[in-house]
Amino acid sequence: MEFRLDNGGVQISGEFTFTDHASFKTMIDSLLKDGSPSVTMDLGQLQFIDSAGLGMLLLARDAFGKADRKLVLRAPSGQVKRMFGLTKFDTLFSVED
Amino acid sequence: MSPANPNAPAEGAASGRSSRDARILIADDEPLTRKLLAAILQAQHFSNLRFAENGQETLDLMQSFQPDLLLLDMQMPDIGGLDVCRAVRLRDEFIDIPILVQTATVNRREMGDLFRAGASDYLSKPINPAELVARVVVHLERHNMLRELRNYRERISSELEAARQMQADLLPTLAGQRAVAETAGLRIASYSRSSSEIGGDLWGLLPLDDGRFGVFLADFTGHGVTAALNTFRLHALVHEYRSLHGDPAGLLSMLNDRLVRLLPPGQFATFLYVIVDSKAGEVRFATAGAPPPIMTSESKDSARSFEASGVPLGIARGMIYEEHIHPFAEDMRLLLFSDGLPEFTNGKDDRIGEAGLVTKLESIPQAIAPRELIDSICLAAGINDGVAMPDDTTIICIDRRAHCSIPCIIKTGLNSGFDVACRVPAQEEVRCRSA
Amino acid sequence: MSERLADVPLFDDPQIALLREALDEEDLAAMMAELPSASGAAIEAIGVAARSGNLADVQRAAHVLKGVASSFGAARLAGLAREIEQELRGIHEVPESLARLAEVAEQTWAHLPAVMGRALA
Repeated sequence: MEFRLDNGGVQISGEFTFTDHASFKTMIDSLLKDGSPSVTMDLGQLQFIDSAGLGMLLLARDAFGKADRKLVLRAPSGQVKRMFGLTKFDTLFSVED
Repeated sequence: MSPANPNAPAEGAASGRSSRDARILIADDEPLTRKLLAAILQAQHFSNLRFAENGQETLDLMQSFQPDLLLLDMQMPDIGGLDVCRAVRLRDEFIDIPILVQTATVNRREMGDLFRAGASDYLSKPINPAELVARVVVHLERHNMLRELRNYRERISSELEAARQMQADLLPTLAGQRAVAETAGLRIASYSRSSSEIGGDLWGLLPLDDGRFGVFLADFTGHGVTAALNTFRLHALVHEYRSLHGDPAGLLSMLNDRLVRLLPPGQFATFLYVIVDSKAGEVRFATAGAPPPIMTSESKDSARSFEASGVPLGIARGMIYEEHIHPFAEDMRLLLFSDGLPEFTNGKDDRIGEAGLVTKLESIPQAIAPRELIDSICLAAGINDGVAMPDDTTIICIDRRAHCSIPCIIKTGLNSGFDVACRVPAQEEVRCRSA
Repeated sequence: MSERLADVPLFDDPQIALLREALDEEDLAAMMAELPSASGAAIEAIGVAARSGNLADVQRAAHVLKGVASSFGAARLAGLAREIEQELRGIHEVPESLARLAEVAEQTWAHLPAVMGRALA
């Protein structure tokens, strides 16, 4: 998984799997430090996510919730979109096209 | 703490008790020097001492006394210290025993030879009692820690093996699978493999009335010990809610509410529950985010996935699941699998993916038995005996074509369902009942 | 015996102090009392090796003497043993060294009670 921070959001690309635990957590911590009320995570370039990746998204959602901030997931596609559909993750997060 | 007393045993020995019990072999050809070394160690309460007067006796006593530490004089009349060191290190049981060599030499080249021969450390002569005791204590403690670590590793690995066996025992036995299959008039084959000794996948058969039965497949996030412990919890929960075994959506809701309380944030289980009803020719199922099962039809010569969704178990309280009904005619078979199958990767080739599985199933000859079907899709996904599994993987094939027109052979291993399909060669052959 | 060895004290006080710290007084005295016979045996071994003309054996025996003498703080005896072990140019020098050894050994034994502050058994 690679990610790029840009104004108030982050773009994630590549494959998001259990090996990305540490780097994803660091990225979330740095997003939480900056003050904007809503953060958008652009998943348009993300090719693959496994159940560990889904679990980490849940943890991020909880962390943002506790900080009274909003996490928006944008543009999941391909296998990621399919996983969101199967697990109804689109009902647990705010997901934009 | 009492003030320092020069005659008190050396401080700082956390494992002092066991260090003081240590067996020490003192090898020196000069009798009075042996006596002096012993007196210094005994004054520090090391009492388990033996003495060797030459190299050969040293090697003999290594064998019979099995010391924890060897205090070795460099220069003995028969076999030199370097050769004694080398000979001791050749034996497996002494590969890491501390060998402290006493030498008057401070020649750098000879120092190198000494360590190359396997010495752990050296002690300069004349004997300095405090240095002697300090080095003996340090090396014994290091040796103790190594030994404890090794024992710990051995214990963990034997406990993991026991846990692996317990987990294998959670899965339906071959006899159990056959009994359910016969009652329902169909065939069942299964494959389970963990990425490590124990894993986060679980499946089971729940016999119902009138030839009906339920089959569930669960996959906890992650793998290893935590995920495996959760499979034991889930196994207990599934059997606790016996009254819901005929109600897929109800069972999932109940399991979800229980798991929400049990699982920490970020952890969940995907879960698929299917009730197979041969008489009615249908399956009823509900899913909590599990990979969709694939159904093949011989008459239509097709394979397709069940499109159904649901929030995985353990994430949010109060989830409602939907029940789906699908025909399960006599020419159909059903493939259930955890995400370890479509997501399998050896790091080089592409994952087969769900679409790839459907395509593969369409191309597999209809005639083959469920077990051969599993072998065939494992192969297509890149899974073979020797390959490392990145994730726990379970595959179940339920084939209604028991009354197939073509006689076929069902090959089965004698083990429980665990690891059978790809790893245990066929040990028993059973004729298809209708043949 | 080299000139500088004459300046070496019979006993090395710091080494004796280290032994005293580590050992029971009685035990130390008992071992000190054995020093004459232990080093005597090593000196005897040097003599035997010299008479058979084997320089390597002479050096090996001198090494043993050096070890035991130095550990018990008998500094001048140890120094002389070291010279025999490492500085002899040939077997012909051994008889002279042996005579000096005998002399230094006598002085060392005579000094033992003073070192220990008591008569030895």
